[in-house]
Amino acid sequence: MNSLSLALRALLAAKVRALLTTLGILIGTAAVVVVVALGTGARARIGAEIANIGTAAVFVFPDTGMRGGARAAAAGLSDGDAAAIRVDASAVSGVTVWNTLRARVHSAYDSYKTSVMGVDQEYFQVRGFALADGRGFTDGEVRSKAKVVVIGSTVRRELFGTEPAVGQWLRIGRHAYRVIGLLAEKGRTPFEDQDDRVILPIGTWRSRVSPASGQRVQLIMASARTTAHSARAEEQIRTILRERHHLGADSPDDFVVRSQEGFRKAQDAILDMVTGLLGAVALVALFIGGVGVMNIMLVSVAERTREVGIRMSIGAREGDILLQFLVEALLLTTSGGVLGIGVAALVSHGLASALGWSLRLDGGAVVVALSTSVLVGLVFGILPARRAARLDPVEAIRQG
Amino acid sequence: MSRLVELRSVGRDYLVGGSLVRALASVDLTIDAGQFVAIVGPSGSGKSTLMNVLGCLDRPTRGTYELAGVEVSSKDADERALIRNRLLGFIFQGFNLMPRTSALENTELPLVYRGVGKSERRRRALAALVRVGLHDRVHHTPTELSGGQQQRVAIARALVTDPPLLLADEPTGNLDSVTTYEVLSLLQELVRDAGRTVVLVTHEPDVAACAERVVTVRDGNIVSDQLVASPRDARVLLEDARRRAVHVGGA
Repeated sequence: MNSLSLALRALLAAKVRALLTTLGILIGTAAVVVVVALGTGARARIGAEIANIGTAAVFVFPDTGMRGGARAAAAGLSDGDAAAIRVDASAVSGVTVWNTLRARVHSAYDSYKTSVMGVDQEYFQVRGFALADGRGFTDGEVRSKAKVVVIGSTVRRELFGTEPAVGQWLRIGRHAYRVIGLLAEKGRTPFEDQDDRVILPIGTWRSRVSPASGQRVQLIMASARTTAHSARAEEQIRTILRERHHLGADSPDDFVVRSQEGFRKAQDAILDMVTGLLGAVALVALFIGGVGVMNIMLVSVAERTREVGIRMSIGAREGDILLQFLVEALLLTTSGGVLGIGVAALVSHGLASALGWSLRLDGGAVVVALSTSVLVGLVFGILPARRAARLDPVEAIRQG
Repeated sequence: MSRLVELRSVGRDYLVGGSLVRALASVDLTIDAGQFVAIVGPSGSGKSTLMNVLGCLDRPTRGTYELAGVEVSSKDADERALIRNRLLGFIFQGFNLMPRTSALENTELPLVYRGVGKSERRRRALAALVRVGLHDRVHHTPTELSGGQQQRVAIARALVTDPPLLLADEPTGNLDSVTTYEVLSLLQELVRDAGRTVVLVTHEPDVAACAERVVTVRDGNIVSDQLVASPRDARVLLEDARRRAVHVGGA
């Protein structure tokens, strides 16, 4: 306690110097904490976006790459592939085929260009769409290629304004369709406005919207039973499709399976690396701040040689002197660390409102930054403190 | 009288720029408790080295030093720090007070290193400051005190641990004659009334004349050691000095 007030008094005697020295530690600490907060924030944001798409979603694309040369666009995906996945993939809870094209849609009031999609009735479950009004497709409607549609809220606004959409009619090309359902709003993903769509049964879509595309399937969407089942679902789908496509052991896949979970993991790995890298740079900055502390402490010891001599003459032991200067260095770095965390909180708050992210100070990062600043004080304070403690009292008193 | 200091064949050599300098050749010196001893000599005579050895700030190269019956020349740094804290009080020419620190806290400092509790420290420091006549200046920092007052704070600091031996190294070197005699009469009082032992280094004959015994050092040896038949009373000298000061001031 006594050495603390002593150290405080010594630092207050040279305020500007103490402040500047503290600044180095402050910046280092703040950098560590802010970088980690940004990393955590970015991760949370990506996580939220993926959750919006559906964390358990698994997408299967036909691989139209020309790697095989001869194979070209021969195989593709089919309704049969989707049906096989539905029956045989135990880790999958729902499957739908999915085709889309951009088309102009007309209502009695207005017209609007949007994505017109053909899907199975399981689409809503797979993508996690809820209905705000009306209902989804029945098995019968899908089988009979009924002229019914479900629309998103963006389309409803463009075509019907504030009018209730369910029960209204709209026209795509030559055919008129009855609106039977309105999707609950789902918001934007990084890729699309999820509410900007018109959804038809796949059969209806093939025969009336895009007769030219035949039985082709642009995409199969599946959902794993849970997020944890994603990897197994991916593997099962791959096995099923390779068998159905008669691919030999040495031929590559003619499709690509991508799970949101896999995507998230890849994103996380990249974020971890970037956060780690920047954090390391910030830690280096913190240590450079420590070198500044050592420098100032050495100057301080040199200036106060006489003081050390006097203290020794009245009975201070080497340990007393060592402790005095060490506590001073620790006080410098620790207050720098605490202030740095305060600054980090302010900066994070500012960044959060500027970026629209939710940024929270990471408890672990705060602990690491604080303990590093204490450690820096110990490591870089010990040399000057030892130098002071080893002074020869006779020489020390003579100086000054 | 009991023997407080006993130096036997004490020498101290320094290595300066590769060559050996013999600061003390061979010194034998005994000081009894309750004596007021002045050590005099020209600069470079070795009197400061002698003072540093007596003060356990420096270790003799050879010889033995017994302080209050304890052989101290062979003690290590921490043991010597303890001896300085328990047995010795220092008064320096430059006062050597802690800057930006009140008279009271300066006086408390030796007790801090002794591990004395705060209230006990305060009590003893106040008593020491009262003893040197600074009861109304206890919260002043050194820059707010005159030279004489600063030196009295230093004396209070030396007294606060109640040490058997007070060492004063040119304590009046920075003071005018009035404050010089103030400090000297205080030291004489401490010897006369409180039975303290004072060893004072000076190169001023007037100052040395106030001691009971004058030890003269030259070229690292004691060349004379004489009892003063009738030491001068600093109180009388102080009155003279004050009168002269008033006279000069009036003229």
